[in-house]
Amino acid sequence: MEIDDLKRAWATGPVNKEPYAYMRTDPVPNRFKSVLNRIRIPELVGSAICLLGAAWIVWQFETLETSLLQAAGIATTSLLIALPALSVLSVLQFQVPHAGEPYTIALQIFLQQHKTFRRLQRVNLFLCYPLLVATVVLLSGYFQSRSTVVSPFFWTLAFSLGYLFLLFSSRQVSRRYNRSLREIESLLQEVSR
Amino acid sequence: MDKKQNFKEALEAHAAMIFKIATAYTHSRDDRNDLIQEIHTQLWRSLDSFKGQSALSTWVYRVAMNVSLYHVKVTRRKAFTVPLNDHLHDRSDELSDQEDPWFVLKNQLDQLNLLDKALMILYLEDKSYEEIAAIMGITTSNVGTRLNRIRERIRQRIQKNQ
Repeated sequence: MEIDDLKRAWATGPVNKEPYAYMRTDPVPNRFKSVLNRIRIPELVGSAICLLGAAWIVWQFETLETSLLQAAGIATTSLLIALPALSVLSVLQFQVPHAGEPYTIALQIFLQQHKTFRRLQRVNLFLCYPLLVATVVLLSGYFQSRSTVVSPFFWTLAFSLGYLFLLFSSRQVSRRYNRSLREIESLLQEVSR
Repeated sequence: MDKKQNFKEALEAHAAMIFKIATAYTHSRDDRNDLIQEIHTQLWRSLDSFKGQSALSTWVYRVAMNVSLYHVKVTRRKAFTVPLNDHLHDRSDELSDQEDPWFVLKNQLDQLNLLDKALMILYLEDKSYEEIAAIMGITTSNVGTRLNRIRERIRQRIQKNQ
């Protein structure tokens, strides 16, 4: 059997005997979209929580008495707005590849989007550290107003716990996101091997 | 002409091709019908994005190939429980032995990686290198090089089996 025979076999290959009998109207699940939603949903929920936090600080701003606390309030609010903005930007730039796009181009676009996502997430993580400092300062103000002693113990504990929490949660999130992104990448990549 | 009419015409003109591609990329009748349904759905969804920059046929091939590649990648995670020659039930002549040219062809295609399989299918569809390049988003010279290698590999395998 030669290549030409294979061509003939293809030309006389199987024929559909049930024309459009299986045309349904229900949506077909899109794997790519569902994997992407594993990143999109927590990011959007986190963004909503940040914005609620920012709104609460603005609402309570008058209770901040000293200029240090007010500065911390402004910094926290700004960061609580900047973080969700970056977060939303990083997830919304992911576009589900269009079925009309050539496959290899879809892969290139995805890899570019992946790179941008990682860059924005890194900036986000970096901004979490000043947010931690500003939040701890702000919390000290709330504790003070409730006549709680703000001791060196408070600062040590708050910064250590905050730092550990940030370190642990960022690692967990990063691991989870990387797993989802690898899954999408492998969905796309096999064809180019 | 409205979207529905465009869609109907595109489907009718390419029904045989879509069926063959789906058959080549799947291993059971149900899986094949799911894939065809998915190709139809994606064609309908992305019809608005077809701006006529390429031929309608090129665009339909591209959608069919893309959907098939995604589909295979997803279904590959599931264990296959259907024998390879399940498709032979669909053949009008009911050939079921390994001498059947379609069986030989399907067997050869299944040994290729997904991209090579797509290139070979387009070659079997008598598409020019330029059309294949436009459908797959690679250069014409890359199409030529890869196809030469694929044909040579298939030729050697067939000779070895004879």
